[in-house]
Amino acid sequence: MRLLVVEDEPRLAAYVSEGLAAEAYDVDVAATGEEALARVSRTTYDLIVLDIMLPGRDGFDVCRELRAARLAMPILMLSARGLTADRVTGLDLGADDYLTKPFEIEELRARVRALLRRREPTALLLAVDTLTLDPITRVVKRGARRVELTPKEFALLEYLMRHAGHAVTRAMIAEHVWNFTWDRLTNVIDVFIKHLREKLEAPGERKLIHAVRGVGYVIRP
Amino acid sequence: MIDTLRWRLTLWSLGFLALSLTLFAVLLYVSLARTLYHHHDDELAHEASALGAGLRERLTARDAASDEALAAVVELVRDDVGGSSARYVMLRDAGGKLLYRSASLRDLQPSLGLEEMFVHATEETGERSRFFDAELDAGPTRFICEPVSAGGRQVYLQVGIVLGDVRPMLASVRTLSWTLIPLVLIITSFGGLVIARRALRPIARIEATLQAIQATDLSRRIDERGTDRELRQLTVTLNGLLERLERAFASMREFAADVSHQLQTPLTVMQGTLTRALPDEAATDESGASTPADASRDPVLRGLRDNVHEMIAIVSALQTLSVADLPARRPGNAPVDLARMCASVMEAVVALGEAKGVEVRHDCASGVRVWGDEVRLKQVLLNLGDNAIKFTPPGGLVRIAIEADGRWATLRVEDTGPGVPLEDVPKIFRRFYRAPQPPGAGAGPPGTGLGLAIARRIVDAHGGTIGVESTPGVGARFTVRLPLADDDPREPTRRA
Repeated sequence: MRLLVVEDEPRLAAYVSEGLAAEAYDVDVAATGEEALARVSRTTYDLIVLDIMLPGRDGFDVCRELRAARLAMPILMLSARGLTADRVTGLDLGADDYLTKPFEIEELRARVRALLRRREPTALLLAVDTLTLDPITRVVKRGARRVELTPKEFALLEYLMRHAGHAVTRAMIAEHVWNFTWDRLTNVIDVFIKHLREKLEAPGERKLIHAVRGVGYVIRP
Repeated sequence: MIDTLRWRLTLWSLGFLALSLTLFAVLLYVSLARTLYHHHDDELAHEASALGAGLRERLTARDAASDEALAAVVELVRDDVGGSSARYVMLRDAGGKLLYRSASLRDLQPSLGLEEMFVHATEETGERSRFFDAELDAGPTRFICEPVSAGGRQVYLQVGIVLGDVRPMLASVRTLSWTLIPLVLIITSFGGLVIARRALRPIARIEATLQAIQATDLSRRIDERGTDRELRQLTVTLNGLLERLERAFASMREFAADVSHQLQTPLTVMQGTLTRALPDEAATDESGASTPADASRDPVLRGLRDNVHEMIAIVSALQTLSVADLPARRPGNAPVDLARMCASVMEAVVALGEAKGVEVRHDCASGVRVWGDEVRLKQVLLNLGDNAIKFTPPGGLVRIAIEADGRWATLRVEDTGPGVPLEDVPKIFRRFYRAPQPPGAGAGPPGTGLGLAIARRIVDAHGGTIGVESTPGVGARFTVRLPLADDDPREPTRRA
């Protein structure tokens, strides 16, 4: 997998590229928008990490240009601005995800993994071990036992199961399951995970939801 | 009431009007009286000189010696000269002795006109004292003195004429003045009030606009069209002032945003470096919570990382703060249904309470709508809920209620924490105010000291108020009041 990191701040570029290289990705770094476009024209990248604030052509501009050239690789935008307006602009221009500085490298890695995986077709019935979830009928079963979930618990479980086997961060969960940001959502998510465990993991049944220290949660057999 | 410009303007103009009307009435009265008293003077003078001429012609020295003969001559002359029978005629000698008086004067005091005669006689020219007024039964009477030398004797002829109803005329003028002037003043004062109100209406409009602007939205301007030239300059000046204020606020906001932006990159790098320096961070752990083994792992780096986390929280709260006071009524904002918003937020607040063992009960009336930005209004509810849970010990209770109250939407957040010390009440909405850590505050990081400041800015920007009541040891109650959306056909129905 070949990744391009577009970041003008050298320390941050090093931090991001080293963090991703540690996951065995091939990482190139571009410091300006022009350089990024030049590299993309020569090489096929599987994913681009794109900072918005760049000298010259900014991230929005690069994103627009790439999408106009019908290049479909996932784009993960980085911004220091946590304002909703930026986020909406970025996603409108065709970015696939958006990460606000400051972020943990593990957060970035989890998102990159999720974006690279997205191209795989998703099953109509999600299943982990004996747990099944039907996104259409919204029926959740553990073996033969029917499990009743609240809408929020259902959304959380669906998100975990769509990334079964891969750790997702609390920030990713917060963004996809809640429609607002709140720094206490990490605590809230822990409580919802506890509820899910109580409902899904009856005494004697195999534990499915695992905490990943420093990252978040993963659901796996 | 008297201290308003409108009333003062009215009173001043009324005062000037009263003064000028009174002056006008007095001058009119004096000149009218003068005209009415004097308008027979020429006639009197003419008659007196005719009588005098007749006397000089007819009176012989012999007749002049006898008073009776003299009186007879006077009667004769009167008949010659003619004139009205209403005329009063008296004749005195130089000593003031009454030599003759006409029949109409018989019943009166003989001393009538005596003094005036002496005054006239002793005066050099006599012009000024030639006429005098006397009050007779028939009415005010005007007399003239005419010195006559006839038949070798100096006598004084006094001729009078009744002035008729001068007195009632003047009295009615007086009465009219004293009744009409107040009447005119009353009518004028109403007119004055109306005029003052009309004249001040543009100012009232400017004031209302300014009030709305300072409460909510600095980007608004006073309408410069349709104002009079005098007020247009004021409007333009005020708009210029608003422009500069808005720019100053915007640059403050940009500064805060820039600072937090600039801090984010180094913080990201620091956080990443520290995370890498701390070993085994990514290892799978069933509980996800701190294990006793954590404490033994490099406490210096761990403390450093916790501080970086706190800084990141502060920087991100500063960013929120920098947009907290953007006006509520902006393009794109719409009335927000608080009950619907409450439902999605409460689930999270209840879960946060559960994490700490605090029960959260909520009761949101449906259909309560306020104008504003849903993202920031959620922030208010979340910050207040977070704050209440933070200060409530495990086992305690937090109650949250939203209801419509007159023209206001009221949000109440009550906790059973230690309450806010009375001396701290004015401080808690300030930036970076941190209350002493409450007992059992274990769950969650220490606050940034910005949560309530952010809530307050957002509420201010929405034209509302936020306040706290507290009973130390029993709990605190935060109350937010926001103006209801104006086009709101609300029927507050309670929902369990």
